[in-house]
Amino acid sequence: MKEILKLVDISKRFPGNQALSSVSVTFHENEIHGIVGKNGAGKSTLMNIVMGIIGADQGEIVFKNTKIENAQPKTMIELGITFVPQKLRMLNTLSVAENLFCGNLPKNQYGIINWNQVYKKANKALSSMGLDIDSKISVQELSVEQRTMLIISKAVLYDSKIIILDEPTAVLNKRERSLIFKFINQQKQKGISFIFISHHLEEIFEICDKVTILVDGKSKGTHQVSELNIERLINLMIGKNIGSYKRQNYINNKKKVLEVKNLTRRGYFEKINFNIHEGEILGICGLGSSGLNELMQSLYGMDRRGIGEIKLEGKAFKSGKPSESMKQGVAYLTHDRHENGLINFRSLAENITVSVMNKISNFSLISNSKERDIAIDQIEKLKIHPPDFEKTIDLFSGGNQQKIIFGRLSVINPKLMLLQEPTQGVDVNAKNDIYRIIENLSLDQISILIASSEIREMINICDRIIVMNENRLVEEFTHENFSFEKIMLSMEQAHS
Amino acid sequence: MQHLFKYFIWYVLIATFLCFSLLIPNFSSPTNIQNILIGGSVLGIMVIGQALCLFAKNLDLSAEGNVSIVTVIAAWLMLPAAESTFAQAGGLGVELAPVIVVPIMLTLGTLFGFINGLLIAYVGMNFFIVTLAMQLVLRGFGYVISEGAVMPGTPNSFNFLGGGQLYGIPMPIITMIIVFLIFHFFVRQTTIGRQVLFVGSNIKTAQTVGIDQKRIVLFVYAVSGFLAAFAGWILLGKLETSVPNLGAELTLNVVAAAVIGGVSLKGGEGSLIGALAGVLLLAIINNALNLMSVDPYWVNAVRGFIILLALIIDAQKQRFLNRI
Repeated sequence: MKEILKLVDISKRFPGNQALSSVSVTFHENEIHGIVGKNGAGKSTLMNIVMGIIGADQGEIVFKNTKIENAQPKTMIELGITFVPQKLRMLNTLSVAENLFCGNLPKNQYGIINWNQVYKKANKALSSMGLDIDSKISVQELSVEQRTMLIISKAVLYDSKIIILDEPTAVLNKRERSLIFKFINQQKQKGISFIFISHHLEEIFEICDKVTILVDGKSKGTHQVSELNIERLINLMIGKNIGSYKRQNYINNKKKVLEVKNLTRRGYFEKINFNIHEGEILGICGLGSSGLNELMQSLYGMDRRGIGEIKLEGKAFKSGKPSESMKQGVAYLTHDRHENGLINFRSLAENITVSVMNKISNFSLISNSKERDIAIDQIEKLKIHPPDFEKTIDLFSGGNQQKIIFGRLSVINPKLMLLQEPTQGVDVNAKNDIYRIIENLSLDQISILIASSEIREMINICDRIIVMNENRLVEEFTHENFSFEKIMLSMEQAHS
Repeated sequence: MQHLFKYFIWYVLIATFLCFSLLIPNFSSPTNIQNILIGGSVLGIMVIGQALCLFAKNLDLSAEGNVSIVTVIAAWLMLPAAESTFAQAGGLGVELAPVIVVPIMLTLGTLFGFINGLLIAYVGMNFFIVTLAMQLVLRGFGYVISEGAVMPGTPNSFNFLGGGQLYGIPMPIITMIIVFLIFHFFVRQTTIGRQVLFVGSNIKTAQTVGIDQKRIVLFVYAVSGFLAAFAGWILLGKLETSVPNLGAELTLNVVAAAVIGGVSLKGGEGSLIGALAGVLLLAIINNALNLMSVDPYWVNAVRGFIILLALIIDAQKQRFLNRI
């Protein structure tokens, strides 16, 4: 097989983070090449470099034996490299044909669009790709897998040589997945190469010819998939544990704070059963598609609950909205801090006290001194830097913003904290600080439920870990028998 | 630099005032300053409601319709019945006392705002369409009730707020200052006032941290309706005559004053004091153009130009602040 794209010794450094260190990968024609790695392993950075969106600090990109200097998105697209993002961007309200031709609709001699011609050509193109889609219907009527296939078809029709698929199956079920895989295999026969990024290791075995493993920005080599099995792949993916926080004391308290029984919301989570004890740190590990996000938001009352029973300290917990949950002693930390965690343009103090306005006011008149006292107390406890309670929250670093939100949750004095990806987008030092904060909260008898896909970090902080996979809780580990491999296998494997 | 941006509007205001003082004789005389302030008083009260809506990332286009209908209803309830002539109409004939009519006005205004809020927050309709339609509905009813005619001669006790004086100071000015102080304090120092800004800053976060965002939206529209009715009271008192197209063009001026004063259309940003400066700037320019006997058609063009300028500055400010 001929080489088509070669990356040689690519390095990229972001402030405070070596995203890639001399990664080399070679892609061949007619090949489906998987790239696997945990969040933050450098997959997106590598793909951004391939697409010319960011420049590498070092290393070179060679396309068909020609070195590409100063790669720009335009040059890479013209060379025939197409990126298909996880969230497809299409002109949803327009027809399939219009999406296919975009700016290039066939016109008659007066420059007016010839719609008969448009649909005829589009139908012909689609059937040549083996797709049975009517080109007149609008894209929003298509299913997700049809849209993905449409985008791939468009790339093929416009002479793409390499198509990068970023988690194309994240929201699909098995049947839809197998349809896409069949389609991709057909295109491979035509000489197209695919780069396939996925969190689902099983899919790598289903579809890929080769796989490259990234760990902490370094390549662990490219392997023939036929020579690997899933256990060995997971073994390759384990990275080193660099100076990360280690839990000091484990809890031994059997008082149940939260009991969840048979909680079911069809399509999101099914038959969920678990308990959390007082002061316990319970981790739930799962991939983005496992239904974990939805479970957490439903527990907090941001989303519909479905059926089942939830008890908080022995009493039924039936909150339908966040303000209610908070009153009953449940606090929540979101995984998308920028989307719905920060109150932008407002001060540190306002961000900390927003959920406890009754504590800083008399008859709804705000007392500045009370507000300041609460803010300063949290600044000291959480070591927020710089310790300026009047500073606008946007001007703090990611780690400190996260600490401020922890401050917001702590001042509620909750019984239970629901944390989603608590260390997302913060640097290593801030991560350690945050885990120290979490452990201190647990010592104050607050029960903590963490949803995360960072297994290594979870192993260091949790008392117990439950694994969620395909909308169900599948396995439970206690801290004595935590094992990265076993937890990861449980997250990845098909259990049905 | 940030300081400059924060108080930019005040510098502009002072510069404009000094400019006109030099250009126009008597511009800075006490009488004229009084005229400027009276001219801005109705706008000043209405801008508070609009600013609250804008703080919560909403917009109330119905306020001028609200002014129109509550003033017509008030006159209708207070005036004696009279034969309708071509241009002039009488009231219903019940001749209610102002002490009853004023609460009715204010309640109705609040109610109309409340309906806006219900439709937007709880039914989930688009604020632009809801309040625009409400403006047409209210103004339409104003015309229906008054049969399109003017109703002159509202009672003196009613007119005191719009036309009276206290210790030689016109009541509209006193009223505007008091209302402003109350609401400035309200926004800065009460929990609800702060929640309004939070909802505008990021409605998803507001919800997550336990703020009832729907109630806040309902609240700002109700307040906007109340203040529109209140402004209607002053306006009717000043004119002593109900005119169904009273308040026409007010909406645009109110939004303009708020935006000129630094209230962001993106929500969550700005202050009432800034909005007040916006009102004063518009009032000064109106007054100056008047004194210079500029063709009234030019006035609109100048006003539009100033609004554009304010938006340009707002956009530049965002870019500048993003860079630091």
